[in-house]
Amino acid sequence: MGATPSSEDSFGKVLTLRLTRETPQIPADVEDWLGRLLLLYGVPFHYLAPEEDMLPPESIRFFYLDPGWMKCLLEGACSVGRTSTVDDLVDQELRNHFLNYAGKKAKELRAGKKEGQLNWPLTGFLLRSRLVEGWQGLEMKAAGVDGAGNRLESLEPLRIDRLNPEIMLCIFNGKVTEIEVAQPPEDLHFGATASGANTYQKLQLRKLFPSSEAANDIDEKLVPATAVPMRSGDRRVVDIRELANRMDTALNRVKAIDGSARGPFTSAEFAVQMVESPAKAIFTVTGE
Amino acid sequence: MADLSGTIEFFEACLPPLPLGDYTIKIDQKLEEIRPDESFKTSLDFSVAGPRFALNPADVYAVYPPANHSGAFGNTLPHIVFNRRTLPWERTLDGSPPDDKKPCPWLALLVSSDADFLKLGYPPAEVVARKVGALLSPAETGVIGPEIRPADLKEYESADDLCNTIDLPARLFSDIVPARADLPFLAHVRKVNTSNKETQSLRTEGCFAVVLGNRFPETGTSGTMGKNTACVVSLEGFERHLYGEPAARQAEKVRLAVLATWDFFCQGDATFKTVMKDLDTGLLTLPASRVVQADPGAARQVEEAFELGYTALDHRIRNGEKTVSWYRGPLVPLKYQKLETYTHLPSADAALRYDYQTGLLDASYAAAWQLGRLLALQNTHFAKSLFRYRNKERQKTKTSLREAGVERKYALSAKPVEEQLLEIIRKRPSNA
Repeated sequence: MGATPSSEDSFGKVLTLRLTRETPQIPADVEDWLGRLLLLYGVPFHYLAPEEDMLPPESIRFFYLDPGWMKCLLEGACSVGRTSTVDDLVDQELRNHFLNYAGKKAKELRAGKKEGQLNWPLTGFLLRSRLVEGWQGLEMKAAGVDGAGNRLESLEPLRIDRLNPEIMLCIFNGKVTEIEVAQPPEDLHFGATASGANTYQKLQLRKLFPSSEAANDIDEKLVPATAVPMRSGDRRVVDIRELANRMDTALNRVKAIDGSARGPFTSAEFAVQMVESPAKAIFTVTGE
Repeated sequence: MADLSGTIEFFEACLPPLPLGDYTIKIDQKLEEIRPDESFKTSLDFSVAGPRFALNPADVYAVYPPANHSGAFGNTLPHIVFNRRTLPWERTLDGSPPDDKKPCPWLALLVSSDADFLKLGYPPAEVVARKVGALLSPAETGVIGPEIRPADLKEYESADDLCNTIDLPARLFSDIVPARADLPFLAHVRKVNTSNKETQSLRTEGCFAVVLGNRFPETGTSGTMGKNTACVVSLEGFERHLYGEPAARQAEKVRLAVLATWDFFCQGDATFKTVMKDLDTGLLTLPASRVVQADPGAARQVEEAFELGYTALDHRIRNGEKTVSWYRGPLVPLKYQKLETYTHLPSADAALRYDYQTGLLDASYAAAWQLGRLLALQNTHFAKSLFRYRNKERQKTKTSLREAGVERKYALSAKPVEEQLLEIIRKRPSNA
């Protein structure tokens, strides 16, 4: 009969077991949730900006994501269900890797892309402005550098979300050096340039030919400003049909519309001409 | 700036593949080989329905000028963007099926200002919820509705359904309603590349229908608010009342079904460009102006802490004492490298740090740890899943441990293992 194995022996065995056993596979839903947590989903706003003065009305504030803070957040989350001080395999595994697990998932959340990884440092900005409320679907584009310092013309957005009607949080995968906030293209507006009380004109028409090319502005020397015809009854109502005719004629004169095989001047052509160029603002982020 | 621009394509119209209406599918099958003289028939009736007097608010993607905003919108033709890209062409003015050769929207965006009504001697019209029956045949004298007979209602539509309506003075209506020839130009489809949008508005395809107003809003002068109301109305049944048509029926007011409405204020110069230009930029820190302190040494220390993104918050520590501790969130004004390995912190308190210089605690990481735990507990699904997983792995470890122990214990014995096990079981106290 052999002796009862001493506790020391069994722990020695556990150590070798840890070395030989395959690493446990973290369940997908746990990984997903950790990924969302890494992008600060569910983190109350006053944890992000504890004082209003940090983000006053009409301001934009840039930041780095502190990996140490995120590690503590995830570690706290993973501490749930720990029943003994004896450190089991799960804790060991989680402790060493949860930042990576979460990072892997965080990248997939928005784009659904599996390849690639997070380029620490992650950076981003908080925007507090009436713009956020007023313009749905603001476009945020960023250029910057990745972890290795390579320039990226287009940084991948990890999170672009409205936290409340006037505050927006954006996190990008890498270090942002330039941010472009643009009026959303499907929210482009239509209009004309006012030139006195109740008189309007379209200063520049856009080229519609060849149709495969972008509709760039035509040199204003070629096509003079088109006056917007108004109804006689009400001075603010545009005579749409007549305006479309005038545009069609002006474009035909400089062959900026496909004259030979062209279809009629429709609402699509009219819309291209009536669009006022979307505004955008570019912020350059300097320093370390 | 790098070229990160997306593309927009414009289309004249997008007609529904199957126009609204009642349909019947008929099947007639013959089995030539078995019963050549007999045929099997069946049929199925179905209807394609669409919005008529009311619209699901979720179909509206955006409006411009933004609702309840004030700004310099005086040179803007208001418009509305629908998610449902076929919406403006699903119906026609006279109820006939849509013609894809000459698409013409059945919706129009009417812009009116409070001043318009006052000029004509009316109070500004309100949008009122009425029954469809009251829209089609108004009880009030002098008010006309669309020329849709109650008999034209489909089975799934009822005169008792509620819809939003507005009574516009007939003179105002006929002044601002689009002409028949204007209508086709006032709606189009726009296809947008949506990859840089905020997450909630991401869509698989970026096709939107747009309906454009034909009237510039009224800019408020000093003293007036410049309130304008945009109403998306159905023109079905108003074919004979469009601008320039000889109106067949004289009336004082016209009752219209309102599918969407919003107000905006037209004044000042708060355009996108000016708001953007006036934005205050900076790093996420407290301003140094917040430091109120007589002692210059202390003030400098606080300023330095602010520059690092810290703020001082009240902190009630475990023994009940109150103190002030430094706190900083995950969004910091300077770069921290991600380390390969971090020290293990078994509890929130293990993450508390003491700052010798100021003699205060830094509770940032402790707060993060505790918050993580609270969020995990709040999400029962996550907590359960993690707990199940822990248990499973713990069981596995225990089993391998036991197996290893057994192996070690009996490996050198000549007795068969089964006999050894039986022996152990017999030795155990009962019910152990």
